[in-house]
Amino acid sequence: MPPPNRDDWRILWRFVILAVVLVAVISGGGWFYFQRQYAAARTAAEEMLTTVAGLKVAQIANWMKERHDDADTTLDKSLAPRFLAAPDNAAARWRLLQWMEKFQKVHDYRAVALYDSSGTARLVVPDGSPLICDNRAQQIQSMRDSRKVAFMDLHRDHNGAPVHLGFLIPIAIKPEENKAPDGALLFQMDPNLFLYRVVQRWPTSHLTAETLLVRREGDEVVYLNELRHRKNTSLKLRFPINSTPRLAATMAVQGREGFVEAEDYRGIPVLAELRKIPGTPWCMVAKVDKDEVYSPLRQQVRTIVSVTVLLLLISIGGVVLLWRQQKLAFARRKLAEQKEIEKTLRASEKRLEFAQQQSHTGGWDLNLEDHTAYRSPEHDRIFGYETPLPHWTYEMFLDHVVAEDRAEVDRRFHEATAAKTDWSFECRIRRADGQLRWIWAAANHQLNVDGEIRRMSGIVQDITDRKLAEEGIRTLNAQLEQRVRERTAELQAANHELEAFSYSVSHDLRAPLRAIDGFSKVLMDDCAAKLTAEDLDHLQRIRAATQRMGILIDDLLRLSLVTRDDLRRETVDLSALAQTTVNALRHKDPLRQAEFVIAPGLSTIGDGRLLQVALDNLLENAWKFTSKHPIARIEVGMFRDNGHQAFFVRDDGAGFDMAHAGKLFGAFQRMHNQTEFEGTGIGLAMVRRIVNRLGGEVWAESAVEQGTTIYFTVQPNEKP
Amino acid sequence: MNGSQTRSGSILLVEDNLDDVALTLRAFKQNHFHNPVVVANDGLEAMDYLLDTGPHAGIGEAPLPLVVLLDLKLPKLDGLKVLQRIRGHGRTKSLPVVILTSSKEEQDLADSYSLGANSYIRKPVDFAQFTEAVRQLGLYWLLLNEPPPAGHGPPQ
Repeated sequence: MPPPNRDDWRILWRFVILAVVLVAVISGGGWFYFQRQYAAARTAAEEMLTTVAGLKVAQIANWMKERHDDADTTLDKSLAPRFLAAPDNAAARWRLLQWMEKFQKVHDYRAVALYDSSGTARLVVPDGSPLICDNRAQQIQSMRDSRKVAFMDLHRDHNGAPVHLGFLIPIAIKPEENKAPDGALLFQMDPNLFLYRVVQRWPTSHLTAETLLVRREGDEVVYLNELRHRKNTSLKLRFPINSTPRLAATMAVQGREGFVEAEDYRGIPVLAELRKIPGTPWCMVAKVDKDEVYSPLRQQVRTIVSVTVLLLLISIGGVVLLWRQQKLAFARRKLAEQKEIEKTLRASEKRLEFAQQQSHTGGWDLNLEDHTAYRSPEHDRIFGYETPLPHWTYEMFLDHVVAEDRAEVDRRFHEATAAKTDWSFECRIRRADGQLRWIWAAANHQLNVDGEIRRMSGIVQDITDRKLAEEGIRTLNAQLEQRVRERTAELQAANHELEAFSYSVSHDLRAPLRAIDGFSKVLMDDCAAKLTAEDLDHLQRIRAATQRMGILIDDLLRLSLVTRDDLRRETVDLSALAQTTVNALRHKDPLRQAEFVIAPGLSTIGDGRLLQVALDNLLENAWKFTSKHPIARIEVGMFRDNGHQAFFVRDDGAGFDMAHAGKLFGAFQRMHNQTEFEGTGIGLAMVRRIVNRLGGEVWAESAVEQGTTIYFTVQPNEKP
Repeated sequence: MNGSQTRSGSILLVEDNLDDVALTLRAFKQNHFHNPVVVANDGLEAMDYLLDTGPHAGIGEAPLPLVVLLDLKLPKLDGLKVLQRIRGHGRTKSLPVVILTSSKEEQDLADSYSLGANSYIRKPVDFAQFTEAVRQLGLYWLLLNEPPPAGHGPPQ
């Protein structure tokens, strides 16, 4: 696996951020959830403690009230005063005992005792109950108000004695005499029978929950009952109030009520409900360990956190694993692609090298910063090194350039470098083996960010063969030009000769004819009397022949004119040219019954004068060969076929047999004899010469007495 | 230019071909033109005659002809040069010159008129036609046409 690159780091960072966010969200959600769970648990505990405490407080208060009422009712009983008034009265004694026994049993008192004013127990039920009391007489004497029942709070009569509580009811023999009581009835109760049981009983299954009673004694808080988690505490366990502000019992005895978070006597954090018990100096503390309340939740938190963390770790691990695998797969694919690219590159390089070798072209790349130069193998080969050199520099190149070219090459190199332009030049080099070769070099610049030339890449090509070929071509061209000059001169000479010839023909050949004709006429005129009719006929034939020769000479001159003049190229309106000819023909013979149909808009590119001559000849022919028909129709038009076009002149005249059409366009070739139609046979020859000169062609369609159509094209592409 | 100069009503025929000379003269004769015809067989001769130069100089200036019939193809000095000299000389510059030639070359026609020829006639091969042409030519130049006034021209 390749080392992580920038992209990898970026992806990793994103991944880490994502994970952190995920953890934060989950933690936040969890925290919020557990806050609510805690609150709910706390509320549940509070409800439980409040309910339990309320219930117990009510029970105890109720019980105490009953006991108080019992004592109160006893105030009005006369049995005890009666006995005290007459202690020896057996009947009174017995009746009192009866009542006491009954009262003790019914109300489940531990003991009921009657004291006299000296504090001596006179009657005790059940008999023999321990009624150890250090100072009962004082207690009795201190009860000034003989109508008030005194509550004797939980106490031990002496160290090691059982705890009990009770009511002391003053007994006065004469209640109306407001003086100290004559004795007192004691209702002594065992707290274990009811009070402690109510306190210690716990209605739910909580392991740490308990209620306890406390009261204040001076600067101390005193625990009244036996505790769940500590033994032998009743009235023995006490804490100084000042030094235990966090203690639930302290809070309670300081007058606080309601639900609190505090510590218990073991120093353990608890949730507690504090209540005063009405009618008593006691406070009730109902409490449960925080640990117990929250421990299921903590357990749950631990479980959920562990599971979440585990799941997160698994997810992260999975993602990382997946990522690594993806990365590996990607790297493998990249590697495969790389290999494929390298393969292609190698093939391409091979092809390039082959191409360079074949075309004698070398590539090079000059680093202008460290002056090293990369070259293709062909580069060095061009300079005559079969094995590539270890290094190459511009100076080495310059050394190879022949002395005559060196300064120019160097100048152009530096000019191009200064101007930062691409450059190319041709120069001669001396190869390592001493051979003189022509090369062509070209390069472009690669600029760095500051616009400085950093690298120069280019090619160098051995163009010796081309140079030699160019030299050959130049020589050949020069020879060719010389030849063309010679030919042109010859042609000009020939043209001059032709002109001289034409001039001569025009002048000199006609003069003798005129003499022959003239003198024949002279003979005929002057010697008419001496000559026979046959002689005169011969002379006439001589004259006819000379005149005909005159016409032939004129036609020959016309024909030569067609080829002598320079050719023009212009847009030619053939319809207009044809109309001109037709007008002339009609003028010559206005009585002829002939219909001319000229298609409008016939136009082409050519020489207007020559095309006029051609149309003249064609229309004159048509006119001539329809002359023996009473009615004639002559048509000038154009037809198209496969994108080609040809013009035509059609008549419905004498026509000819196509079997003889081969010589139709030859000079002085005739289809009819002189007696049928006059003519020298020069017309179609001229037409052919004209259209050939313009690059076109001419051909004919004809049948005897069916008329003739002569087709012609003017430009090469008009041939159908 | 002296005032004694007179017009003889003659014709100057400049023609090297003797056949043509004979035929031309016959044509004149047949058409009953009796004006004297002076024949010059080449261009130089014609100029000598007109300007009283050359081997026969000193005879005195002959009267100018009514018309010069000038062939173009002439030995020594061709027709166009003769025409050029005629038009270039004060004495002869107004002289009517009719080109009478076998040539139908466009170039000849154009050159002749641009050098000041008064007329251009192509000699037909048919003698009958030639006779007719000469008749009309004579009729026009010898009878109908008023020649330029004598003495017209710059002094020499």
